[in-house]
Amino acid sequence: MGGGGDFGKGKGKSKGKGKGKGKGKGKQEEKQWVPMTKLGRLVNDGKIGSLEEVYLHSLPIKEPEIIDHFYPPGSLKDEVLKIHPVQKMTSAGQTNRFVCYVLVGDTNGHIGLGSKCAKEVATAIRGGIIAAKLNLIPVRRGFWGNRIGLPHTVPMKVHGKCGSVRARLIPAPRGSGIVGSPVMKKMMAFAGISDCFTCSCGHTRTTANFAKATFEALKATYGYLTPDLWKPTNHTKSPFQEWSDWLSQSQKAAAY
Amino acid sequence: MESGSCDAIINDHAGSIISMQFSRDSGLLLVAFGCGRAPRRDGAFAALGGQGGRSTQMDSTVVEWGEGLVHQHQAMRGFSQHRSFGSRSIELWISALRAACGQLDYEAAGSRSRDQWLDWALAVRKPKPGRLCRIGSTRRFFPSKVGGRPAWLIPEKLPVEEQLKCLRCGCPLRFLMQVSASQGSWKESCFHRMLHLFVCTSCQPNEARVFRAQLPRTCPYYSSEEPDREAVGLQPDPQLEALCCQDCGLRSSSAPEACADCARRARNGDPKVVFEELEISVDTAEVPEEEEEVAVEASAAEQKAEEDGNDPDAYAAAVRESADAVQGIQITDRDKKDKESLEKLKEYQEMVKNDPEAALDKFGGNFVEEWVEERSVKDQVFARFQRFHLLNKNHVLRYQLGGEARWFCQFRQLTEAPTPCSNCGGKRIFECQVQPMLIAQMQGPLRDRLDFGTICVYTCEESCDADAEAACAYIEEFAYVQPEPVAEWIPK
Repeated sequence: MGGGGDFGKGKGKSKGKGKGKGKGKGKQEEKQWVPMTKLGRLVNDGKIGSLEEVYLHSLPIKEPEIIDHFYPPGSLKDEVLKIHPVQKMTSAGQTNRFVCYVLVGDTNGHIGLGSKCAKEVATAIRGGIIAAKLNLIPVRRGFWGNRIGLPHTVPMKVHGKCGSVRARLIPAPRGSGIVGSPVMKKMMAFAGISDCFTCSCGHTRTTANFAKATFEALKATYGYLTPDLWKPTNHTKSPFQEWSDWLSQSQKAAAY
Repeated sequence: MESGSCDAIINDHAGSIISMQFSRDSGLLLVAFGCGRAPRRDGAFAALGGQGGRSTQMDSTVVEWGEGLVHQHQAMRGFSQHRSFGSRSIELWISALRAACGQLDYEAAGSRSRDQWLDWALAVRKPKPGRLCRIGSTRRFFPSKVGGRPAWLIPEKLPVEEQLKCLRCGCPLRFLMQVSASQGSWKESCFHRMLHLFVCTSCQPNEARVFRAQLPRTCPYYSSEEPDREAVGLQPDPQLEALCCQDCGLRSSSAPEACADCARRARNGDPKVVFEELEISVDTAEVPEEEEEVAVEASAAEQKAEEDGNDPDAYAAAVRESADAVQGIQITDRDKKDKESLEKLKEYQEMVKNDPEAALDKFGGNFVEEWVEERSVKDQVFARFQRFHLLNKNHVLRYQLGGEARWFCQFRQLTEAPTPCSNCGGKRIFECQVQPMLIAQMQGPLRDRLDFGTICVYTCEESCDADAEAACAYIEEFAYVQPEPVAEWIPK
């Protein structure tokens, strides 16, 4: 009695206690991405051309598959900066967890940092990579002298400060390399800056403040108004607006 | 029929009786003893009564002699395949049983039978999502579907046009989905029960309204037996077509031609305002484990290094300890499945072995934590929603009557209790929620107008009936749309 899909009848369709194994889901279905957020849907439909559009309009990125869509596999490099076990005292004894810091970058102007704490190592690493992808930021690069080839260094002298540390990044000619701690070298390499002079004053260089000051300096590269940006910019519509306006226009024409 | 012999057999097989059948022709009372939890896997049957003891193997039908549990039996899928069973027969059998065996004592049958039914009740309450597959349906099959024209359960006394307008902007609503949610197990008048969900595509994010209709099993519109798919499927539906617009399926005064809105659209050459029609199939959901968020605490050596100021020896010791700790990381079985992560772990261990200072130190770790916090807005509720989604990718509806909504994000959740039922004034409880994955799986021009985080439907706890004299047989319930945040997710 009732239709095939009747919920009242269909309640008998339980496969044991709910964790059915052979559900008939193929591998294909597992790998395909079904987006959850509006930005995810727009990206999946191909309505957003590049990642820069997302940055331009400051849209929050909440699904890592959005980033994967713009980078074919292999072009976005990731590296584990640190894994270390963390112990927590509970009433049931000690619990062991792992925290993992991951750096991702495409060596072409984008860099991201992520961290994840989990009970198992693999979960922590995977979570760290996803978190780093969601925090990807653009970095502007420029030339030291002649505009030959591709940008390789910071576009101008920028500085950042944090605590008592002042860090100053200065454009360097090709072949200078990065001057800094090994981790800094790695971060710059992932961002695509191959040469940079640094000048710092303040407290010791091994503190986090120095790293932060350097990152502040990197962030400042896109905030600096250079002569080539003097031309007036034509502001484009945010992708959310663009697609909803287009549709509402066609609907308005339909109404009187 | 001697009640004594019946009681004796019942007590012998205490805990395993699951069905009884009284055959009027032969005067036999057949008792089925189950040997497994599923009622279909039944073992021996014994015939009691005037003919004396005789065992026969027969097809089983499930009957419960406690009246309260009869309808719950009907709810079992295994049972619905036995079409010869009818509600009138149940009463007949119960009275025959009572007559045959005197007042049956349920307790004597053993507590295990009762636990069997409690298990079902629990299984019924688990979160239940729906999936899409492509079959069209008419109201005669009580479909659960998305899009197309609404297959109204009751083909008269439909909601009027004023009821099908958006509360916020006044535009006509579009039919989104309907869910067949029978409650026949505990209330006779809820045997056929349908929720029709409508959305307003002009508002961004969308507003929603939901209507509930229910019918008892014996009603003037449908037969009490299961409809035959081939015979009934292709017949037209004159009763409904006389009331509804042919394009959008909503009630219209100019039926059966298109309503004013649809006629205008047809004149301009615009597409119809229906979503792509898809049927929902029922599946059980996999619920992920709850994860706890843990703040990172520094290990003992690193803490010491901090306390000692910038002592290079302590610092070196801390670095060495963390390098050693890394080498000794245990890999569990579950980890082994994740090959990529294990590769990265190996690379990291190699790097640290060669150069202990290459890894990030505690200060670097602090920096990363602060940087991450600045860059993104941590939304634990969304992370939980995403974990559920990853295990159930194709699920478009999450059904958990009387349960709790799994919110899309931490912003704009429903904080106060839902409004009381408009019909009886009773409390409303959570029934189901529409997932945003539905939008991604639909096609068509109208689908881009859909924008919500999740739509939660709250219905009357008692599932009250509409007045018989009321103009509209559909009762409006409460639907709450949680929108997807844009500004709240951008870090300050």
